[in-house]
Amino acid sequence: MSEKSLPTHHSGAADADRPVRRPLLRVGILVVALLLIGEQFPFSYFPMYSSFDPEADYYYVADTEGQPYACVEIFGTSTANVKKMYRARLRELVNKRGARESDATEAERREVGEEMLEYLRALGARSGRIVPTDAVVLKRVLVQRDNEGVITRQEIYIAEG
Amino acid sequence: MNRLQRWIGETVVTHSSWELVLMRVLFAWLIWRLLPLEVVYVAQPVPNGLGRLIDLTFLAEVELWHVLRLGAGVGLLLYTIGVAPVVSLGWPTLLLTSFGALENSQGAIGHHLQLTCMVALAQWGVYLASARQGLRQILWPDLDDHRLAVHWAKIVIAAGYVASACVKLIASGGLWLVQLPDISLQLIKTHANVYYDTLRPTEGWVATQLPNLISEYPNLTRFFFAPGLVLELLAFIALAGRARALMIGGGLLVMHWLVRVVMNLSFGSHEWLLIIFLVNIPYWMWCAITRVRSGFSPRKSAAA
Repeated sequence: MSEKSLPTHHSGAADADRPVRRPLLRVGILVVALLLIGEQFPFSYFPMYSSFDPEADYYYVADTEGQPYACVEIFGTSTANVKKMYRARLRELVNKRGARESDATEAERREVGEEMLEYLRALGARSGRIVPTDAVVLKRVLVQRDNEGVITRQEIYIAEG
Repeated sequence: MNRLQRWIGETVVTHSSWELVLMRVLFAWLIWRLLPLEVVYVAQPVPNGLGRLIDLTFLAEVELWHVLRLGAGVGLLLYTIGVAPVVSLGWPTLLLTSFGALENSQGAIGHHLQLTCMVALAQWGVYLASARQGLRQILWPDLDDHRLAVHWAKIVIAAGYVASACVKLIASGGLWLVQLPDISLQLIKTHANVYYDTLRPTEGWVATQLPNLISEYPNLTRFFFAPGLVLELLAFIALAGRARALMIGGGLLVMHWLVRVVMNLSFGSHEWLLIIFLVNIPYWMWCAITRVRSGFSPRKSAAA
């Protein structure tokens, strides 16, 4: 951090910028470090939208009639976070038996889904929100794009709790 | 110095003291804005980063958090006037980093805090390194330390964007531009997320027609999105003086604006970091005013 700057050609000028020794070395080292460390807060390599698949999915919470809840307003967190948290818990569960997330059974998905719904109720209540007391449902919507560029959606029931 | 070196040669910009004060005021405001009124996370279900080393759930104690946050506010006030940044910046930095680690230990990694925390940690590191020079430097660092702290802020910002570009190339196996038309599905996803967050209908052609247009015209999509990737890859040029910083910072701001319009995703703290440390609007306004004034004032004769 305490690197010294090279003397400038304009050393007489008080406000001349000062070239540093070994330019771009620090930024280069930092880039490599961020790539190696990965997602360990406070460090990140910012992998948002780093690759794209011909399918994507999103999650939402609804009542048993299928009427959706405004997730941020009711539970205090976004549907994007619901997806990340659900997937992280699912990965943790299936990793215990040496499987991958894509190999999760319906029962495992339901178990994690129910856990998520419980977490969401508690989170909403802690932040002073009025959370629904009746049963709620976690749903996943799968969006796919075929070779002709046609986009389709499929809704999948995950859990009720 | 050859032309290439002039273009990418890293320099510590000799910002004036008033610029440095303004930068500190804005950065302090950014940190303060990111510290929430209360912490709602009472567990660390999937510990991440700092959360793997320390159980940070004590931050959810309401009264304790209020005291810690108040201390950070006092620290930030002192930091803006340049007093004892090892402590006055160190405390808010530690608090924001701890909160961010707790938030990211819920199983959902978000990206709105990391760059601010890394910038704050880098600046704090500069002040800590200069503290070896004695008590006076700890209490009242000189102008060169503040300049170096700002330079390190720029290094961290540039590294963040370059790393992001590298990840795009690595994760996609170099096929990021080829895969780009599939971003149409991400558009549908993010607009659906926004709808299910608030139940306010997402209207307009960006939400309803753009995903299909992107899917149908892949090369046009690549034409519009490719400059963003190039800008991120070349973000290190921002370290080569004020003008390059303005150019790269301005370009990245436009990229964020486009992402906000198209994807409905905002990276507010990233944008503020670019505005504060790279674009540096007050300096360019001062330049413009000085130039206009000198244009209207009578020329001094050489003899005078």
